[in-house]
Amino acid sequence: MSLLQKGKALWAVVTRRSRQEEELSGEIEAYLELAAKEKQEQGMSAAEAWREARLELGGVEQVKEQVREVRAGRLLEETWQDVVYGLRMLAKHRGFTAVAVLTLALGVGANTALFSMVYSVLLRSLPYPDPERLVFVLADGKQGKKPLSPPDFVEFQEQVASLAEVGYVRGQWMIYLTGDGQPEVVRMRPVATNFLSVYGVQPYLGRAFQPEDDVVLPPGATANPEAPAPPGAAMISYGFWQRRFGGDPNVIGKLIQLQFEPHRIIGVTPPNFRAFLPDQEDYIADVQVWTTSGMNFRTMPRDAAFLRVIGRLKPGVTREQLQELAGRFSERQRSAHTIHRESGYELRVVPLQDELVANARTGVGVLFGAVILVLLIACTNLTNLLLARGSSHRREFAVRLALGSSRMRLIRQVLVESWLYAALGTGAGLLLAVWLMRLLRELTPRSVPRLDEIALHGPVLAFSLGVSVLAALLLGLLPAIRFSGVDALAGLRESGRGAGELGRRRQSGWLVVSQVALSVILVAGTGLLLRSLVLLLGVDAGFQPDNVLTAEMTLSSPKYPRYPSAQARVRFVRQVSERIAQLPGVQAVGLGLVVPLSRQDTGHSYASDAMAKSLAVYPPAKYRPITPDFLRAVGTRLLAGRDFTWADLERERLVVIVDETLARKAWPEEDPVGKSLRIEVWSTKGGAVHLEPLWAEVIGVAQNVRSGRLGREDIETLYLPYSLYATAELSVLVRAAGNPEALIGPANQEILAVDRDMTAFNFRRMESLVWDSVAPQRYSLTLLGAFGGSGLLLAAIGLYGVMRYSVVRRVNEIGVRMALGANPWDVIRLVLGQGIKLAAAGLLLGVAGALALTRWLENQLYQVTATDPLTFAVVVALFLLVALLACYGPARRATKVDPVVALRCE
Amino acid sequence: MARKRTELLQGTLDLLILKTLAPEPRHGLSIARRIEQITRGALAVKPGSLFPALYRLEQEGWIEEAAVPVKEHNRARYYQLTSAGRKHLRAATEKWERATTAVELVLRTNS
Repeated sequence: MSLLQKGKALWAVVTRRSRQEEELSGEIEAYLELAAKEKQEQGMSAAEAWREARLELGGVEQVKEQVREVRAGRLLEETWQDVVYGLRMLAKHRGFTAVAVLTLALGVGANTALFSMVYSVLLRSLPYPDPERLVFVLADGKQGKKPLSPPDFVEFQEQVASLAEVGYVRGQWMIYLTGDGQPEVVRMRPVATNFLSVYGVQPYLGRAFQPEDDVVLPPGATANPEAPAPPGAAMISYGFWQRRFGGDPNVIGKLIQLQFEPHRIIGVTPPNFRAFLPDQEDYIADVQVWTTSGMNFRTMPRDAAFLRVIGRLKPGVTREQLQELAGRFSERQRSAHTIHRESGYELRVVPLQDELVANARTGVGVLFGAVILVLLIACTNLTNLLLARGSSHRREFAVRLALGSSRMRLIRQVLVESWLYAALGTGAGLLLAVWLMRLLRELTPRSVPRLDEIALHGPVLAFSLGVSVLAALLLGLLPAIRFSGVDALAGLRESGRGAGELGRRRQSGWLVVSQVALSVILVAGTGLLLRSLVLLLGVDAGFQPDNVLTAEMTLSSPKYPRYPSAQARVRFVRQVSERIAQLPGVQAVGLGLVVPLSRQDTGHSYASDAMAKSLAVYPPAKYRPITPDFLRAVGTRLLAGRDFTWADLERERLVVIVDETLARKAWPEEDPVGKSLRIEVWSTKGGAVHLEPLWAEVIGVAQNVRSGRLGREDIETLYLPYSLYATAELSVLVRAAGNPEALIGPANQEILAVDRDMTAFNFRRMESLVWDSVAPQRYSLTLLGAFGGSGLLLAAIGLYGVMRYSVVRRVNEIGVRMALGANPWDVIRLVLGQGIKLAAAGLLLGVAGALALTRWLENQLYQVTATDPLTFAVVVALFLLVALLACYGPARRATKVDPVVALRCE
Repeated sequence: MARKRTELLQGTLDLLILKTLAPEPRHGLSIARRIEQITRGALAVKPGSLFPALYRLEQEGWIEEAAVPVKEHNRARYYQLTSAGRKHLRAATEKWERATTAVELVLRTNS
């Protein structure tokens, strides 16, 4: 039959089906009647004639069916029938459908989310042209891997010019941007002039840096108004350009002040451009301004390693070639410079993408392991469910086979049904995946690169659909082939008792046990992490974060010199302090270098009189320059003595406050107040900047502030008056009577009122700092918890399914027992007993496994051992409770068995 | 169930039906009776084979529903050959004759 004819026939079938059916019915009816009439004319009685005619026909329905089979579009029609039937079955067995779809959704969703993470973070090539030509150069040595120093970089650049174009990117700073609008704090990175071309990117507007833009400013140039330096060059990011300059094309050539130094904007980087580099702490925050370094690299010290070097291989050059050249270069450096010889200086050239994802790989690997565990549980669940379901199919299939259906037809029907499950499960799974990806984006530490890019990209979607197709095939084929077999007669028997039956029950029993065991491992891990986090958060930190607002500032304007005297800074700090203190709702204000739990830290050594005499090397302490009232603002109690006063600061008195630990170590058994302490402060006396020792009087003792970090020993802290150690970086702390966030605006206003160019940034509640400091712990906990939770849910569902199936199969047994006098409680005990036995077996295995495996978590636990008995006890109790709940339904169902009916159905 | 048997005879049954319809339009029972009559009872075509064959032939475009002035039964369906059907009948008859001649030749030789 030609395609056209087939098409026409198909069309006819689809559009005129009911009419065709009617015609067919009529035709066969006519045949029957005519045949009967014919036989009557041959002499038979009416009844005989009809009987003969019917026999000849062979059954109206059969003939119709045979015609239908021949009709075009049969496959389509049958498949449509299967779909409708399947949907009806799905709706009828709602519980089963819900469970199967949920299980599939969990599997597909978790898989997709994980794969999208793997794809975005590990697999997807970097968003630059020819990303495989991008390399990263680092210096390996005895002290580990480091960036390059300026003179080494310059020399290296020259040596490899024929093979590759190399550039560098430096660390990032938060700096003030002023001029042309509101002062603002921006993220800035100094870069090599060729950095855009190394990445292979063209500027969106304006031009990229040229070598001439890298103007080396003589030291102190900005402080000298008689010889103003030419403005430096700056490029801004696309996002920043849109936000601050409204996308104005005339931004090129505009003058702005970066940290009070004039710069001219020469270009805009393309939208979504990011300079990806390995080992950054924060991959989410965007750089807004790029500038040149303005330093004479050749004269800088060879041990100042801070240049992160990137390179683009020239066409036709391989990484190995560049590595070889780098090796020879390293050799020459080692022989030419002592510092390199001693550290075993060796340059390594690695593919940029590899290096970027190296750290992320382990994290994703752990995730992968957890997802596999959950998938295993989900798969065993589904298998169990299908085994249970398949046996109910058996009877139906047996009947249909006997009535003449082909095996293919039955297989097709089961496949269609399983595809329906798969479709629903995939749909739900994709929704779950989207939600999971959102969760991942929010939760994952910012130190994982490109995590904010995870989305349902093409390959991820394809992967997801692939998984669901596979699942559908597996789910469908197995039972289909199994149950459409020739053993139709056996299926017709009501209760299929026999070796096969028992084997199946044992199989599903073992599946449940393994599910429970796996879940126990996950939940135990979760419990340990949870307990650890709770303890961590409950640590008496030595400060009160409630209702405290913090913010940061940088006082590096030429208006506030540090040397020779810090009084300008002290004046600024005092004015800000007093102004904010007057705002309604403010209980205390303090300014200081470090806020507890933030990542900054500065420290030098200290020594008491006795220590100075007996020790050769003095122990370190954290140095915290503060203003009066800082301790009150942060909530650290003074245990002895007094706080600083403004008089102390203005007269630059040599006084300090020490913490308990320092007091105990320096003057055991003595009162520290009044004693002398040797400290070190920066000074310019005698020329260059250096650390100068001073003896200060101890005027107070403060409570210990614990860092609460895992595996970190708290070292001693001493508090100095800000006048002695007037840093440019400052934190502001405001303790409020009520909601501290209400004070953000007013506090900023007061600061601006003191100095229009000095804006504070990063306003946050101190509580969020505390919360952020445990971000890694929270991340592990959430992930493990999610997996543990889903594992538990799946195991519970699995247990429920098996118990239900078991009850259905044991209907006779239960009937007999009840007939023999068992009361409902006995039946419940019977069913529960079986269920608990399974759960207990799983628990035993699981606890043993958990005890063995939780050691991997040890370095994440705070004051909790990996085999903490309390946690394990709670987990066991939880699982027993869940098992009881899961078995309750089937147990109750068992009691509703009518012994008469059960016995009759033999 | 009896699929194999039908396959062997399918081509032949088609040929017989087409031949029966060549002179005049007929309905299902009439076709069956005619074939029975000509073969003197040797071939009794059951409706289970006849009707599917009729539908298939219709889909192939070799027969079509005939408009008959007077029907034996008002719901009976009358079929007639199409011109394509006539062509196919000629070709199929030739093929059949060639095939049977060849078989006869083989059967007659002494081997």
